[in-house]
Amino acid sequence: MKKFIIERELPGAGKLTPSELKSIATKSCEVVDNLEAQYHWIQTFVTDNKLYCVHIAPDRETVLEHARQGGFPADKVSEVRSIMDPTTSA
Amino acid sequence: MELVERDAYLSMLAEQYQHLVNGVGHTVFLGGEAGVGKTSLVNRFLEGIAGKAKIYTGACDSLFTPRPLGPLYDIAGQLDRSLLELLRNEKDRALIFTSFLQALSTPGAPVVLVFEDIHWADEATIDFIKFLARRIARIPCLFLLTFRDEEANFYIPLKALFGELPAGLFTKRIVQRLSREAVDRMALEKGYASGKEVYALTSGNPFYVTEILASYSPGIPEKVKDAILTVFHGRDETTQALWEFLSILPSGIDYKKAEQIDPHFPKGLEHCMRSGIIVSKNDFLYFKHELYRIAIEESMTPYRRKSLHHRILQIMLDCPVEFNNLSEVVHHARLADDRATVARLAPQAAKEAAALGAHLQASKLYLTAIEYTDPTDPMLVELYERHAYECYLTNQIAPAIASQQIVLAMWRERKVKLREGDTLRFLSRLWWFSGHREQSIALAREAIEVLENGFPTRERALAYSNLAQLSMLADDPANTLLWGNKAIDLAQRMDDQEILSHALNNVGAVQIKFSNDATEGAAKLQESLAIALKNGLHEHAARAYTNLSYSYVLIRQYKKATTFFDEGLKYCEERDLKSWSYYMESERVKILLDTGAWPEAEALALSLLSNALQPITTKIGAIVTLARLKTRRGEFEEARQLIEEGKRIAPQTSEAQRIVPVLTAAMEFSWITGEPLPLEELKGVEESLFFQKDTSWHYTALAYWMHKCRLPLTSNIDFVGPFRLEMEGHWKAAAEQWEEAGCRYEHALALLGGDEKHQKLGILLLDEMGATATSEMLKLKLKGLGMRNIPRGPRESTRNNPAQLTGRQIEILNLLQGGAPNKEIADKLFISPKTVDHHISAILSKLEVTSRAKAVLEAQKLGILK
Repeated sequence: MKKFIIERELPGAGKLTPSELKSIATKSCEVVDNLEAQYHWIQTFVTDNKLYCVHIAPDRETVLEHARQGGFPADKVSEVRSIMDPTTSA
Repeated sequence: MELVERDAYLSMLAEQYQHLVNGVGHTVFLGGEAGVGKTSLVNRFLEGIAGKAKIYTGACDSLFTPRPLGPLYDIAGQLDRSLLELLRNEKDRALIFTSFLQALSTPGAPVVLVFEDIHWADEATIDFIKFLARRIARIPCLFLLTFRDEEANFYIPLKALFGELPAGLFTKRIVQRLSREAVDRMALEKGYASGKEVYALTSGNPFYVTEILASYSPGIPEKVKDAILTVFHGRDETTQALWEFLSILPSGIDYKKAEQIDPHFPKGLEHCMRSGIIVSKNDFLYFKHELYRIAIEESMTPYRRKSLHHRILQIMLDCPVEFNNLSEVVHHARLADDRATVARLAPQAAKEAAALGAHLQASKLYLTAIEYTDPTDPMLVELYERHAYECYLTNQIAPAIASQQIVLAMWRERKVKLREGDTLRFLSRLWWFSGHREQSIALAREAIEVLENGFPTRERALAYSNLAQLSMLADDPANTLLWGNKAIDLAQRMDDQEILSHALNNVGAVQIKFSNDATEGAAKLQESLAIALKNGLHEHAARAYTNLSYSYVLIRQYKKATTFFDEGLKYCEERDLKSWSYYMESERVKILLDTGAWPEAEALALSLLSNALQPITTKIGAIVTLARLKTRRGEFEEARQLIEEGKRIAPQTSEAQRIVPVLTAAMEFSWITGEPLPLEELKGVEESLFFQKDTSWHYTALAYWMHKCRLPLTSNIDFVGPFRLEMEGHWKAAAEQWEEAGCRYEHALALLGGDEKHQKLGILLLDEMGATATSEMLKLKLKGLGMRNIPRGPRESTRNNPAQLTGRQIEILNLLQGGAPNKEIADKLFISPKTVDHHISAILSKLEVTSRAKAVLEAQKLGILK
């Protein structure tokens, strides 16, 4: 399995209402459940005009398949090569 | 060679040429069956003016799909070679068209432009013909076109062309076959005893007559084709091979390529050209006649034909320049059954055709591409999508639906949600076009369900606005507002101007349809229009103009409606948005009727109906108006037939806006004639057509006529407008509102509900409008009620007066003669000062003067005033 950052362009994303966020999340989970491959949606950061999602999937193609089945854009899909935080400096 | 029985056509052409020399251009269409001698006629005319005029010729070819703008390529080579570059690289049609117009307008010798065989023209060429023919009077050009009339009848764009050109700018002649006498004469000259047999075999078709009389074989052959084949079989092998090759090339072949096929060909040519069987035009070789080509082509075995197509295809594929003419390459690849080449090139050819506006040809090419593409190819879905779209643009709704269904299945299988939802939305639109409202709404709802994932997408906004539009058309205000406002909200958040314009239009239109106050709805429609104009969204602007003017007609605000008709028709005319302007005209005609401009109303309605390709939506407006006009005038038989036709076609739409006008016209007919009312139809409509009857203008209009016909009304319905006032007995207030809005007929009818003085006035107004049947019926009624001294109809003397002034206008003139101001005239005649104004401007224009004083003088001079 690999980890991916998916960027989804969405003008006005920061103004999504809680009920809209709920339906996006519901749809995303529904698609994950229906995918044949193993798939994990970790977290999504909502900014003013873009969503940044962290997913764990076997490959890039599966990430795109999740987007297609959910009807979400996936403008940029980048594989995470390594992770660091302050403890990395130690 | 002498041309037989062609003098009348030649002198018509000579006459037009003379006009051209005097600086006035014109378009001439010469029709006739294959072989009737159109080309010979054109050639004879051109011989006569050779050296005096600049002559350019282009032709349309009978390829599987013709090359988009094919004739323009031909004339570009003769006119200005830089135009060839333009054609190859430019996809902006407007630029191409104006560049050719400019090149043709350069000062110097007069120009004769010939397009042959336009029954094979692609749609883009037809558009060019329309473009040039409309401007022909302004340029020094005689535009001469030939076509086969029997084929033109089946080619919709060409048929439509004749209906769309202004009369007076073109002449259309059908070239006739030879008479029995002419054939006799020709046979005698050739030494036959009589022309009887030849005439029986050919029916006087000049090409066949000439071929048979050429006496290639002794006696008269059994079939005309035999005459041609006898010549063919008499030739040596090389010549036969050359002819066979030439016969599979409807666009002809240039010398260089002929040599590539067989180095011996050019040698054999010499002889063929001397005998006139093969002719050369602009470096291309052709048979002397298309019928000759087909006779040879059909004599070959299918295998032989296929191998020749294969051979020519290889030569074309080896030569990259040929890709400039994709239509020709696809034509041969298809007939050579080279599947891979068709699959590769047909989509390119289709794309090119579509870009230039040849949508009919594009749809055909996409279908071919689909047929020849491997079923597992992932690109197939795109071909189906494009095919559906091109079919939609060319009004081939059934094949569009078929392709779009396949697209839907494909996206579903691939689980691509956005595409699946968008496909459902487009499919819903297609079903609406085919007249299936319920199916259409079900699909629109399904599209929304599929796209409902919380994520604001363009697809979802489009799906909302689509359902809003369908609900608006179905007169369902609740759903229009629900989905339309969702669409507006989403479009605003995404800053999508196109969807915003569309959604505002739907919401605004429904608000006007269901309200006593048009302010809010009109503001939304105006906003929709402003957005469309600002962003250059032509179709949306046309739709906004249409719905604004339509709505004002519906709520009987004729003055406001007229403003938007004027602006909207001008806008659509300038941009060739024909179907929108026709539709607007079909609404405008109602105003002409109700305000008494009957000759104009009748002429416009008839001209709309003369175009057989008019959609039902446009037809109904014209039919209903004409039916009403005939009813009011007392031409009941014609009125009855029109109403029957309306009743037959309106229910197909399942829309109140089409059905109600037909039924109200039917009720008015019964009201005036006393014939039975359309009770059965009314019952059905009452029960199932309306989602909401309260504050509905359509329902109110229906109820108004039911009320006049003394049918029981459903209680507690909230009616709107002056209709309501009248139904509630407030005749005076209603009459004032009708007059204020410019509805003269309704104004008169409302007055009939008043006291005796006003009833008489109403009768006078009806007479003045020419609504004699309405007024006669009402007079009888009033007489029955004991009224005396009812005004008579318009006196013959006033009808025949030289300036066609009405009785009322003469009355006003009389008062003007005495120096009365408007207010005084108004009081004397029981009409408003505004109506007086209206009459006075009519008087000024009828008498062609500019002031009241001059009007009085002129009327005295004409003997109208004493």
